[in-house]
Amino acid sequence: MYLPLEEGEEIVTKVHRHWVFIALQVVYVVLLAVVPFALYFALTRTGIVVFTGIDTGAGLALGGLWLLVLWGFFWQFWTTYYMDIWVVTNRRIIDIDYERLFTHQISVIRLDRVQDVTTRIAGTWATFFKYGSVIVQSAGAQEEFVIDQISDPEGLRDAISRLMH
Amino acid sequence: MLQTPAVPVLPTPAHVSLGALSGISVHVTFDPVILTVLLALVGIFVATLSVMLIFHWRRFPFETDLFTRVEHWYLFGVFVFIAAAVVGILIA
Repeated sequence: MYLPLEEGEEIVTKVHRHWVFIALQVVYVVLLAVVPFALYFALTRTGIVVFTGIDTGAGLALGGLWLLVLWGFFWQFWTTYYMDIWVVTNRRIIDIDYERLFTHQISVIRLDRVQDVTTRIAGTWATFFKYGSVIVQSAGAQEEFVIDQISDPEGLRDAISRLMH
Repeated sequence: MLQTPAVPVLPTPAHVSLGALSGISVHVTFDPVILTVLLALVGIFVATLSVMLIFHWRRFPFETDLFTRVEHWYLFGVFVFIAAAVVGILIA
């Protein structure tokens, strides 16, 4: 991905999706990491199931391999979260939209084509965690440009509005 | 000839468990060969994933310092978990 800035173009701000969206995936990975070990100890301590044939070495090897797989998945989640980014420069808004690895879309809108900027915070969770969308109306063929699930959408709207004037 | 009467050996309370009572016993054997095959399979998976992740991190046009640090943390974790698995196989 090569995205050169124009001459004299400066990055004003970079915005990621709200942290709550990666937190949910972190909880998911942590549960997957903890549950097998907890289940094993719970079942063996209470004697409900008696495992035989798993010694310390095999346990360490299996645990290490399981955590290795989850480690990889965690960084994959983090990468698709963190690379989903909106970059506001003094001339453009650049949206790098990562769905998953090797699947991304880059949209660019020039600030001089922006006609209107609005914010939308919808729902209880969005209000509680303070995340929402910024909708940028442009004069081009792509009439609406939505920056979704970001923290402090009003701050970004104000920053874009200042750059427009 | 004097013979002692056969006394049934009963488990002491410490040996009685719900599992023993209900008769549930799971016998799983992971010999070092199976563990080594598992390590190889997981190793192939993680190596492929690592190449993909590092490919993306190095090509990202913003925040290159952060992604360099992330690459170090990621590889450190990979080596720690592989080392744990290898040590486990050697013990087994």
